Amino acid sequence: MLQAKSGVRIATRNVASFSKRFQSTSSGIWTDFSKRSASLKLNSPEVKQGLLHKINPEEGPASISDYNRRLAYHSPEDIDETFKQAYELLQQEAEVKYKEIEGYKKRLGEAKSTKEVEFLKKSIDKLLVDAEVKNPEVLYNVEYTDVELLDKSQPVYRHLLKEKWEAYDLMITMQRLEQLHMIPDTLPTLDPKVDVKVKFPHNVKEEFADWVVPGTVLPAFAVSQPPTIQIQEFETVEEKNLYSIVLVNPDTPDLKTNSYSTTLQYGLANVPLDNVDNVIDTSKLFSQGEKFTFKDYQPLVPEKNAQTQRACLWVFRQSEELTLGDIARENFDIRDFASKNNLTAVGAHIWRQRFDRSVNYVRNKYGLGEGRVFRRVRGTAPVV
Amino acid sequence: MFKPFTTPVSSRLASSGAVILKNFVRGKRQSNQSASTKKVVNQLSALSASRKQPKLLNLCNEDLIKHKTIVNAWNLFKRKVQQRKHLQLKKQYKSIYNAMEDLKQTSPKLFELANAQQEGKRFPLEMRIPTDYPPTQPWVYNYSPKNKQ
Amino acid sequence: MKSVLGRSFTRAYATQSSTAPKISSTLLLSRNPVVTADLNPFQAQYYKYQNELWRRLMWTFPKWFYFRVGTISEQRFRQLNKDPVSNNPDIEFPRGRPEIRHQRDRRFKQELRLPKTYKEEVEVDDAGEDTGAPGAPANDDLARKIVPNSRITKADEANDKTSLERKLSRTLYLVIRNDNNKWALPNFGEKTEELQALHDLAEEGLYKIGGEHINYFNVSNTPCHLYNNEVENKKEYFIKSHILSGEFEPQDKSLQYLWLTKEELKDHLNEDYYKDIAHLLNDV
Repeated sequence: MLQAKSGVRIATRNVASFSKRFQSTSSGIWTDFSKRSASLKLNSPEVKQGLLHKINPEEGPASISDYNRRLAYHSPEDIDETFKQAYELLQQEAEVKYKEIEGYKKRLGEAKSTKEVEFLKKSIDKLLVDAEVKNPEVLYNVEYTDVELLDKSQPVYRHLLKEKWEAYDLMITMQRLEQLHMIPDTLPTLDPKVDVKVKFPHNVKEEFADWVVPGTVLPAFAVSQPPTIQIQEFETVEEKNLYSIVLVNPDTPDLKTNSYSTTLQYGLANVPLDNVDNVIDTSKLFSQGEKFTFKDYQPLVPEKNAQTQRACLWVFRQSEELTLGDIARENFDIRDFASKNNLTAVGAHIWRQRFDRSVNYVRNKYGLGEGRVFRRVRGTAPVV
Repeated sequence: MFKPFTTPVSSRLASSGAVILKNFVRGKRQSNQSASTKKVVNQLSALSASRKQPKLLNLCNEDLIKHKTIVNAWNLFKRKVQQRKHLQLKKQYKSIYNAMEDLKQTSPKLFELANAQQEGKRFPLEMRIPTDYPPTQPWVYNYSPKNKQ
Repeated sequence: MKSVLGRSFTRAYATQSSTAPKISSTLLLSRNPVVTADLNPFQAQYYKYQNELWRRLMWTFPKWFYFRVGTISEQRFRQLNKDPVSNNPDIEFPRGRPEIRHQRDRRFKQELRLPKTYKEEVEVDDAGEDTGAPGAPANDDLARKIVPNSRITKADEANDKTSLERKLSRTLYLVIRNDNNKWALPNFGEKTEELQALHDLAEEGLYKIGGEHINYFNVSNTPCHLYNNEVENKKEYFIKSHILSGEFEPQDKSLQYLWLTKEELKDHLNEDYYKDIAHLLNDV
């Protein structure tokens, strides 16, 4: 996770002693799960009680784990009574929205042209978001529970996650892409539509086992196995989209031209993903990896005294299924690759590597032989 | 026996003109500021925030979500009131427009009279602004019209 | 001015006469609210909640500035406001350690009780018993307790719908009824002899039916609405006015009148007529 993990450590109190005297029956659309997904509700009963009804004055709010802090907490006055009325007001609005959705669904059944179908589906999605976006249970889930566990098939969750992404993670990613000049150097620009997260789970050390912050410098042993890539689409994906993922190193030294060339390190194509099934992890690579890997993973192994090399990961959305022939690693032209195969870049990630003590080990593991050792050479131009 | 070095300190200081106590008595801390300075200091101490600010309000997760929900509901309520008001104003404008358009067709002379600029028209003095509580006499019944010339 | 070419707002009935509709002026006479609007329960609750937050975040009262040490009023203040439980580092506070500054616990709102500056009818102490101290002075004394007048008047309790003092927080509208007719807003047809502006027509008609002791303010000479009365074949141009003081005294004994709010008008007026003019009426 790029942001700090805000996991809820719920007080492990005896649930049986949990008093029922504050529960009151309220029947509304947000308590009715016959037509709505169960993922929209709060799973923890103590937190739910404290949120929707009253925080137990003997126990304190369930979200604070430290016993002393929990008991010392005092809520603002009149908050429960005001919240009850506010909740009823918002629930009534949501009920109106759900009625509208039913109307639209009926029309969808009778719709003929694809334009109308598309419009109706978009309207239904928007209404589903509007109906649930003020629901306090949903808001609590997005803010304070583990984001990984949210049900991404719900438009509300995707909407709120997109807001979160745009507020921080997207800005970090774009900043790193621009500052490290990945943007003009590989593809000309990126219009980000998708949240790309990369991690190397084979690592034992905690600092390398979590999601990679774009731009970090990673040692060679940390990237020695293929990464887990999570591609989160925020728009509704009905049937699975096909994605291509390409890992490129634009900083391989080319001595002849006294410049750099791009090498293809890792290539995946025709990966079917949708809103929920959005990770390319080790299990998927084991079971279906051969189908969509068109270039095996070869980690970046920078040579001694070469400068910091960028590992640029590009995620493309395919328009149709691709058949790729043999593609050489050296002198890979990514722009050509993207235009020839009608790929649209939807997301990117970047990390950096430099020569460190584990590079030779990784080289041996992948049978790449020994690397060169560079040294500074005096220029021929006269010193003024 | 104890023999003082020279003259005792107190008598030395007393001869120089300063007033000091021979035996120290503990009393209230008193500043030797003038009365006007003390007054200003007192006023400033009442105005400044020092030691008067309560603790920062740190809400727990549940209470923060509750507060956000309350604010959302309030914004929705305000929006609905505004929308009703805007709709009513639009309808009222349409009414006026239609009435005048019709009057123009039916009776141009009446239309002119109705459309004429009312210069110098102001709200009357007797028009009362609503207060929280009514006056002892809620309505003035005693009125007789001015004789028109 | 009767125009031969009547406007086509009127629907063409087979039995309708071919004469053009008459012009008339309807008076929408309203009594503005005397008192501020009643709050919606959610509104009241929200304001209460915000108020509590404001009090929680308010600075400590600088008591030393308003109640000088050594004065009797300071003594009275101290009697009414006991110090909060102070912090003792050697004891446990299960509900959090207090932090006291200037005799205020920083974690909570400060609840102040100020000494009274007036005398009540019967002086009671904290237990609620009569202290026997001298009670309130005469009614006009400046030292008496300030008690605001009630928002609910006698007319409210009696539900006297002809009274102008009823429902002080709402807008009231004048409706009249002749015998065997229905309730309607007062309407005055134009005279055949002379040409009168719509607002003059309305004023004359009002004085004729309600007496001259009406102090009203005409909002504008421009009519605010047109109602096509097909039944009586006339165009009703609405003139909006507010009654400021005085009273509507029916000159004719057979005339009945009422001052009604918007919801009550819905019950008394014709359904279509009400739907047509509902937007002209105030919700407050």
